[in-house]
Amino acid sequence: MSFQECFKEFTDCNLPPIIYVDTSFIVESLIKGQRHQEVAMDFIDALAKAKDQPIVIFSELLKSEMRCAVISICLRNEFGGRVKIGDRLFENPDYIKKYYVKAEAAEVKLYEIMQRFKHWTSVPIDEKITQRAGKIMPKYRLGSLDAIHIATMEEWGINDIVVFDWGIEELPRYRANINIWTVNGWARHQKRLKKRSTIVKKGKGNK
Amino acid sequence: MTDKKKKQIQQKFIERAKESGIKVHKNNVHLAKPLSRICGFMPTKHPTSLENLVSGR
Repeated sequence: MSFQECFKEFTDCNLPPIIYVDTSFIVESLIKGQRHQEVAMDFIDALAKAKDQPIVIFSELLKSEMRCAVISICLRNEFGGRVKIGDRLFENPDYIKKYYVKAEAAEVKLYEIMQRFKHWTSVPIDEKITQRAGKIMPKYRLGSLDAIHIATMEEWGINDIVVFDWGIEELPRYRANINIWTVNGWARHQKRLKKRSTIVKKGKGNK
Repeated sequence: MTDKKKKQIQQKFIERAKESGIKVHKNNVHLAKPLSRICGFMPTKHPTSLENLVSGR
């Protein structure tokens, strides 16, 4: 699918007034060689070029999650996935210096992306959010970090999230008024055929 | 959802954020860098990149 076709899909559909951005989406869009980088970039472009541009929101949690993801990718690229954060090798000051510089550079890039939006904000994690996260974790069958993202959305009354994470994707089954903007499941299985993935909207909330 | 309703929701959010002491950043989007110059950030040399192949890694 060409960019024009992809862009038309987004402009034709009703964009939300506010959209919450998950770490998985930002990491996918920023880092070269990530599986769905092209579609993630197109989605950012489409959001930025839309007449009714939504307010973009992310949690303060995104910064630390993104740093962790960048370091993990660095390690995977260098050692082929045998080394993980927390291994003794990582105590080597050379690696710490090398990878932390990369993680900081990724944060700069995140702010550069945000310059494309008229309005954006990062919301802090407070006691209300952590308490809510604890309650929704078993209810929605989420991991702790995903639960913080969803609790933040609920606390701020946001119904739309763009996410490339399997954990959150199934959420509309448990919470009816949430919209998940994600890579279509079928596209994932098309990798071997080198077909292009697209972003689809799951959920029927906030029509 | 109508444009009017969307703007109402956005305005409500901005006001609530201000009350909570959270800054909603406002940008002049025309000054933003092209996305292609922002994305495509490579965290470290990829093992299969040409440079690494030449250096015999």
